[in-house]
Amino acid sequence: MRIDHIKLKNWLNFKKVDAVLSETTYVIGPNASGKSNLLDVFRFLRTVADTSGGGLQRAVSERGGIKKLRCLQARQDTEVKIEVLLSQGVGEGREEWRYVLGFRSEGKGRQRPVVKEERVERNGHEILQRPDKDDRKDEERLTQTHLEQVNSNLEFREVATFFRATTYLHLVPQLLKFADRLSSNPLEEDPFGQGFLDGLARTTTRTRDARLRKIQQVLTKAVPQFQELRFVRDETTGLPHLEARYVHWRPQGAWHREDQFSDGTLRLIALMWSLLDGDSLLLLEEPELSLNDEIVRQIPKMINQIQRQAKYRRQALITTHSEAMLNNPIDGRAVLLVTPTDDGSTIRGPSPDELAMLANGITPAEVLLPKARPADAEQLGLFR
Amino acid sequence: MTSFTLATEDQLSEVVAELLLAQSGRFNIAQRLRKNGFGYLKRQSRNFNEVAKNVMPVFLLTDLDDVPCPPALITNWLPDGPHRRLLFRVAVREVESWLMADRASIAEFLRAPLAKVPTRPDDLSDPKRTLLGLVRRYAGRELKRELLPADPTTSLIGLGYNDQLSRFAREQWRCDQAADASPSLARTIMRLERFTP
Repeated sequence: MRIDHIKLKNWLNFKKVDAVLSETTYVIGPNASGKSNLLDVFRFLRTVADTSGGGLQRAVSERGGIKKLRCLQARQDTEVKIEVLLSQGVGEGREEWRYVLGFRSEGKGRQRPVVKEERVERNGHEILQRPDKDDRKDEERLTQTHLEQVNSNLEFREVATFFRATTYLHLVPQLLKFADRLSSNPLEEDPFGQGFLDGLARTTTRTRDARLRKIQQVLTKAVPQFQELRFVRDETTGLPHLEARYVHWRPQGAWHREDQFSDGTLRLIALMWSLLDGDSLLLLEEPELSLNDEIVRQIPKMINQIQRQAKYRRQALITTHSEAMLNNPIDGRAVLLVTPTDDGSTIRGPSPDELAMLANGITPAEVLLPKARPADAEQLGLFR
Repeated sequence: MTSFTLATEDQLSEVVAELLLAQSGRFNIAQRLRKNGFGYLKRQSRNFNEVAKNVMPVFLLTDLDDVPCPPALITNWLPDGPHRRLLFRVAVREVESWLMADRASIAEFLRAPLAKVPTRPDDLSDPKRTLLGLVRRYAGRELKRELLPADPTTSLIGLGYNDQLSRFAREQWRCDQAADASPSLARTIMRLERFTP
């Protein structure tokens, strides 16, 4: 399943969004324009769809309540609305889904979020429309979505499962390298990759080895001197580790543990692993961090290669500032540009003129990135 | 209003090109293309020609540097000549000449005596060096710190060079005054005035 289209109303710093997503979508924009907020919609839906301890109330309170979640510019219309169009398969077997969730504050007492609208369509046929007559009889029901309940989401379980399987990855190498000394608890979704090695350990040996082989193939090309990658358990502590062998002055080379890997190598490994792991939506936050430009330039190709090798192609949504990454002949329609305005941020794909430039040999980095620079970057100079 | 794509080699030439287009009142800028250095412009010049032919007019501004004359540079980049909608303009020899051509303003900006500002900046063999010489000799401490390199053996210009000169161009520079002293700028302004989409 993949997401084809997303529409938002009053979501964080977006008053209105209407954006088409590709198999791999690059989100660009200045700092603090709302790139991560766009990704956050899918993490939100993930929590709403979580039947074990998630749900609408949890998803909203995790974000500091509806007041913090709703767009500041929303004055008259205070409903927050998310509309997602999904599809699966091609040709006759193709299925199209639409999931709409609108909610707002109950306007009294604890100011809980209540469902204003919840609608599901499958191939154009409505299979859920709320509020229904039960909701009108018992308004308490509106504090929960049907998405979060196994009894009620039976007819659109696939959508719920898809939302729940979304992965967000923003690996912070230090959290992994110093895991034992930091001794902090990984967050629930493990967005920062602390539990990355545990995830590896939970994978069956066969799958894990197959994936590591694929990653190794790519890494030998990207990282000089890199030769081999393997998974091991420490003999005394039993803890899982990754080990890599580099070409070395000794004929056998030397094995290094993940705490000796460079930040960039670790991030690359986690990036590729997550592309191979599962078939749901993957959210990647600035994968270019700590990487050499030349390797960053290869990321779109790597993603493409891995997507082709993986059992299921994962849809990826990537935020980036990187010129090297967008200096590739990537499909211009796969780039979304986030621009801050006085009335909240806006999101758009390339205009017809911009697409025409791309068709004439200019890359997305040249056409679109300058528009993702802060308005007066030159005037940011400190001395005037 | 005709929309233009700007293709320039650095921030400073982009600002100057922008001012020239804005001054006519007939053009707006839809797209800016630049990466530091003329290498990028040269590499992409054929594609710019295609954009001019198929998408929208392109204003390309580059420095002449060591090439003997503008036609030689243009033929070298585009042997078949530029498309009618590609305004291929070459600053002789660098965009700094155009800035210094508004002699009164640059003298005021650098606090240099007017007589020390070259009268025919297009004839200078290394305008940047001439400009930096004026800075070194006359400018105040703050401006020196921004425009001059900390170590002249490793870098030609200071970290604030482009920012400060861009600010000068935006706030003080008058292109009509400058055109009197710089023939290459005067020709560029004329070409822009006569341009029909």
